Amino acid sequence: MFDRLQKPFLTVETGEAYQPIRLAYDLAHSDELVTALEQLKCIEKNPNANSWNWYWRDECDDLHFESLDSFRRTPRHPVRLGTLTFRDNKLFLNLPSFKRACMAVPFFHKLLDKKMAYVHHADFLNKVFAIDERLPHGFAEMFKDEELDRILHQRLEDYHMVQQKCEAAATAEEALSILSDYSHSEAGKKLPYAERYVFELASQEDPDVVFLGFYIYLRGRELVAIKRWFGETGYSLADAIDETVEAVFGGLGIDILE
Amino acid sequence: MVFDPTIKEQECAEAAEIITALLSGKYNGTVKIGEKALRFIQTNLESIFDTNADLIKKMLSTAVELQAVNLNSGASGVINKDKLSKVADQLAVDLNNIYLAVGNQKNNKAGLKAVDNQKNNDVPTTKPKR
Repeated sequence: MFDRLQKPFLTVETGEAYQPIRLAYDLAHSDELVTALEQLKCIEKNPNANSWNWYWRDECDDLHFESLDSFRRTPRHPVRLGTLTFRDNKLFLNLPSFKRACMAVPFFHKLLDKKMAYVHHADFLNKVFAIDERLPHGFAEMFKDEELDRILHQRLEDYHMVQQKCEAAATAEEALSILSDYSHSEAGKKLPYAERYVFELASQEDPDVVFLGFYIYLRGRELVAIKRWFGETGYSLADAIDETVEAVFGGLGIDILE
Repeated sequence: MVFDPTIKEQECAEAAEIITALLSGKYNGTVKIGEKALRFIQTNLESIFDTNADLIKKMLSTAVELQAVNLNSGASGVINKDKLSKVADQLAVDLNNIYLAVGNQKNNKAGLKAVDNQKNNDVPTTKPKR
């Protein structure tokens, strides 16, 4: 533990842990999207590539990063928050931290017409890096589509089995216990090296709920990665959730009188 | 057993809403949990509250866990936006406290150098020194 504290993990300019994450957008009208992107002042095209830089200025000037109190912004050299690239009729937004991804999704959701592009999934790593650690050589090295899909479908399959058990339960309390045991067991598992999160924006009436869900999903994992870095090797999502739920709802004030 | 009379009606209503929504199959928007369980709980809500107040916290934990372990958000109906915001805020506070406490600021220059060596923020062109 002490050794780890003496050797902090790799961070980005704004203070969060360096954890590469890639947002993938489905495209309907890529030409219109390029026009829309180039109208944004916070987006700048790279001269020699089919990619754009996303800078912390203008339209996204009011984004906040509280994780670093000593950072001072210089308007002449705005921080590059991420990059955008086109490939295989998809738009990829590459970001170096989970928090930036959490900010990027609602930001671009508001700016981009859903008829042009909509966010489909996010691929990311469940680890933090040492300052002198070899970094993965691009997203192709980090993310294997087949493996990410396999993990996703396995989870969905497991969930459907739990759903059937709930349906067959004799009582509501039994159904809840089945569901609760499943969720607690899932949250207690060691997280995979890389994961995929699929957005369900189309089925949600309120996109803010999706964005909050994404935030909890990612930042819970960020907390787990950091705690493990600090030597709490058995720390899991279940621990993170227990602590968070207790902190938030512990004061619910419901007691029973005998 | 009876409820503490000081409990606000609003809290009971919120808890009832959570329980009903959790078992109503709204989770995920695509999958349904326990239609039978839903019918049961709708008719037995009062007695369940009377006999097991811990159930409410268990519901909340389960809702957040489902949020955290599954493949998409799916929180609509399980746990309302206000409660989701509180969970998200708490995570942000916990993480920011860690970042500020461990003093990552002073190591940021080294970290930045490594990240800046990456083309387009994600494709390293040079390996950081070991």
